[in-house]
Amino acid sequence: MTATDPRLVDCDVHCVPSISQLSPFLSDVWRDHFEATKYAGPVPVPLTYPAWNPVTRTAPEQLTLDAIRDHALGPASAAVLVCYYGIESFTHPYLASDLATAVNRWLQAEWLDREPRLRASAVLTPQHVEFAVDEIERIAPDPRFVQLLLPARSPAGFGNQRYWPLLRAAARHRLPVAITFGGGTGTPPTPVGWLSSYYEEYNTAILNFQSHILSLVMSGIFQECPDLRIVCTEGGWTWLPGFLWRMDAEWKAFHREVPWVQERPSTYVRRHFRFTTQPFDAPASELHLSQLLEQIGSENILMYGSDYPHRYAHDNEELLAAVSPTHARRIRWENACELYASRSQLELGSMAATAAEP
Amino acid sequence: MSAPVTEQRRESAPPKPPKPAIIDCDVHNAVRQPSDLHAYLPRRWHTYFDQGTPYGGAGVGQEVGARPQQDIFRRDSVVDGRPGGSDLSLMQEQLLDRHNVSKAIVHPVISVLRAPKEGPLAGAVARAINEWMQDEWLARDSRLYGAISVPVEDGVLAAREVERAADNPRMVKVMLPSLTREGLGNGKYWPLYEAAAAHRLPIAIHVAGFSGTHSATGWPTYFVEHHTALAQSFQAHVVSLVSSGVFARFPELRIVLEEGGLGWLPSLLWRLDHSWETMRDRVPHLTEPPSVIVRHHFAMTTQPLDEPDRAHQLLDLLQQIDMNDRIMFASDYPHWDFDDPDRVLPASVIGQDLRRKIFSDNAAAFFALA
Repeated sequence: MTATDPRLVDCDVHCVPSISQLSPFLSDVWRDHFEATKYAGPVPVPLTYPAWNPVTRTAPEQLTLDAIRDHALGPASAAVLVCYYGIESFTHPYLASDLATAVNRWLQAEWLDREPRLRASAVLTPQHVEFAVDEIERIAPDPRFVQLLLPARSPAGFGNQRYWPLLRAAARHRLPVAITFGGGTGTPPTPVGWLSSYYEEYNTAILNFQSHILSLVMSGIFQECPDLRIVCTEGGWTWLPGFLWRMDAEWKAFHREVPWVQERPSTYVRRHFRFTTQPFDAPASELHLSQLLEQIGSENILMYGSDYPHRYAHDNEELLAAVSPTHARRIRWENACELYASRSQLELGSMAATAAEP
Repeated sequence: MSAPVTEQRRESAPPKPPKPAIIDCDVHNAVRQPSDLHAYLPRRWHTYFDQGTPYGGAGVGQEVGARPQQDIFRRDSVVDGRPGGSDLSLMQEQLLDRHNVSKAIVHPVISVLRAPKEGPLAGAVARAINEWMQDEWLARDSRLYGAISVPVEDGVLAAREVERAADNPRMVKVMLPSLTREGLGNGKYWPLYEAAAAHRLPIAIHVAGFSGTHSATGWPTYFVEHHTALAQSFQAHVVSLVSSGVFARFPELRIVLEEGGLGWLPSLLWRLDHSWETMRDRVPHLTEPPSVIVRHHFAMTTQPLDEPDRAHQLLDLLQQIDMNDRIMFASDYPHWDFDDPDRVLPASVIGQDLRRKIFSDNAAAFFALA
């Protein structure tokens, strides 16, 4: 039965505007500025997803509504848009916040209004937390925004006190915070500086996610905001067992420094964090995959994400085939539906019927 | 009535068999006070050296979190206020004799941190430490082997010191801190690798050091974050070294990762291999899968041993890593998180054969210890 279960929520589908597409949503001052300076768009976007790379190539024709209907919403009954736009890279606070608002308005007008099966992640200015809170308050009444989006590269872990107003606003509106691959800030993305190639940057990107989880768990934010949920998008997840063992052992040794962390760190991770499935850094054998799933020890933390239009060496079907039918169900839609129910119901029944039609 | 019987039994019990001899790959000696190095340091540097190097590395001025204690020693290793590891006889009693350590590789990691990382003073201090090591440690106990200290951020100067110190056959590796300014595949470090490879000396990357940031997202807020994030620098170095092509240039080069843990390794190898398949044209000098390079050129020490939720998961981890010939016991004496060789990785869990490999055979082969 599960094999024919058409219900699927794709938690990671890309879209990205061109400057001209954003233009109607910008304030006059920045629209004029971009026209006068022939601005081509934020640099971190192509740096994060370079066009030369067959894995991360993100061509405009792949990101039209029709293309997404065909490719992402073909298999899936509902999808969550992830629009990485490099907002964090702007040091100019007013430019950054105007751009964030414009992207979110563009998402509403060009995507959410036109396709009821879509949901979206609202972009923010993590570098200007007050403006980020304003933007959260602005978008929160629209339940089609089911999460907030922050880039993984960051000058500090998101548990740092400077981000608490943002996290509190997210929890207040029951908006999960999605941390996504990439970003553009002046802070080196590894503890040992800037590396030399995209291949190295891609492989060390997991460290940004490990840092944020560590920072959030140790900060005590989950004591204050028990409803806060974090989604790690495109950060991999097969590294979780070793990371959780280490974090638990370190907490055992140093817990007196962070007395508000009252449960094992891995307990917080399994309760508050979700991970989208792509890229799937697949174990070298089926045996190792089954060991890994046992080590992760929860069927509630993985959520199907295609990362469309990006394509990796190992696809989601490989994972779904290796887990039990009930676990596959959780990955395909249940975990996502439960997570995003705080914002809006995802209608899978009628969508399932649509998807089942040839 | 029963007491004498017990007494009698005790007397007639066979004597305990001696503990099998083991090799400890990560032991820390120390100077009693910095001025101990004066005898090995040209006079012109004494004042500078004694004053320390308060800004000798990025971030040295930061107090990260609230440290659990001001030093890092286990309590019984500190006698009369002298740093743990500064007294050979205490090290003999607490480690070498008590645990039947037949060979131990020592390195004064704290003393090196006190020194600058580049420039002429750094070169002079590294040389002084290496000579002090020979005179005051290696010459006094034949069980001890040394790690060569180098001014890590100056590859040329570091190479020169390796060339000089490598004449001493009791120096069996070159020690680098894990928190360097660049990924260790960076070309600035290659002269050092060339010298080490020429002398068949493995490069040890050991938890310590200073860099621009301690984590992949800038400075940690809490000490526990800093300490947990130390594993990140090892992951970055594996990626950097493998991607750099340094092993194609110096096929004899070998790396041992010390105090970085093991749990992160399987997933990193999977990721490196998969992305190598899809991005090969961007790293054309990588002609083998990264996991093959790592298994050929790398080794790891055990402390701090990963603590999975269930005992069999440790065996699963070792199976996934698939480097049973390259995992080597380390106690980290005299630091607070000392792993007791009588308690970690017991034969009842990992089997007698693997126990012997990890506690002796692997290190004997990797470091060519006679």
